[in-house]
Amino acid sequence: MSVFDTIRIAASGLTAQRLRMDVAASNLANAQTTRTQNGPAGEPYQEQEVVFQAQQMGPMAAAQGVSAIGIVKSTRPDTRVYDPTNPDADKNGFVNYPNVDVSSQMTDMMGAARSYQINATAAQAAKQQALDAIDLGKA
Amino acid sequence: MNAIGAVSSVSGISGVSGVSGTTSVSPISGASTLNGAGEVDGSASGTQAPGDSFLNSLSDAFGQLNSQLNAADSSMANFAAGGSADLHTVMLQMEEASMSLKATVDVRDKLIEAYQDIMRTQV
Repeated sequence: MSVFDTIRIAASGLTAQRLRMDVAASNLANAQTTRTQNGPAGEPYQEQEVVFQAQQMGPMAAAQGVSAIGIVKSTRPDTRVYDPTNPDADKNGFVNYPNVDVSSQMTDMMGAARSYQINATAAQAAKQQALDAIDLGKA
Repeated sequence: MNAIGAVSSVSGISGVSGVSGTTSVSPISGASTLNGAGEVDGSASGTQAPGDSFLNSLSDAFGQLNSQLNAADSSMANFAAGGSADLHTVMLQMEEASMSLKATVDVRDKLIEAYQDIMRTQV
């Protein structure tokens, strides 16, 4: 197994955590969005979540990186708020707000940032290992 | 891996020590015992012309290095042009290329050292 495999595994983790961060930012940005671009009228933004899957990166089955295989919508019900003056209110005066849980999105974002750091540290360690190996050849 | 293969293939040169009768190249023939660690293919065995396999693995290593440098180059250009590449992908690719370059330069230094050792042989 080449030392570059280790770096590529860490890089796949970095990419995965970047995507997780993107999705958390999207959820936070749309926490009060009552309309979607192509969806039906009156349907608010839906909270999204990334699905990860382990993926073999090198010749060894034990060496597995990660890849995002999809983004799914949360099934939690929308928040209904009585606000008759809102242009998106239904005939009873209720507005459907997104099912985004802001506090859980914030913790998810912190988790993504920390996981990114962890994967960067792993890449750094693999790089240092390779440089140490190269130093063996020096007089 | 190819770079290590190139180092071990230097053992082909150690055969010269039999001709010159000196022990000045012994550090390199010592390196050939690293072959025993496996990994490297058995091309350094006596059946093949030593110069041939050595040149092959050297040009393989250079080819791999060149493609890595080119990949790092193009992904950096793509990133600079506002492409969709992730920053960490670009940085890690550049690190891979720079590590390969370091390894190749080290191998070259070893080769030149071996050549100069032989050239300094007293006749």
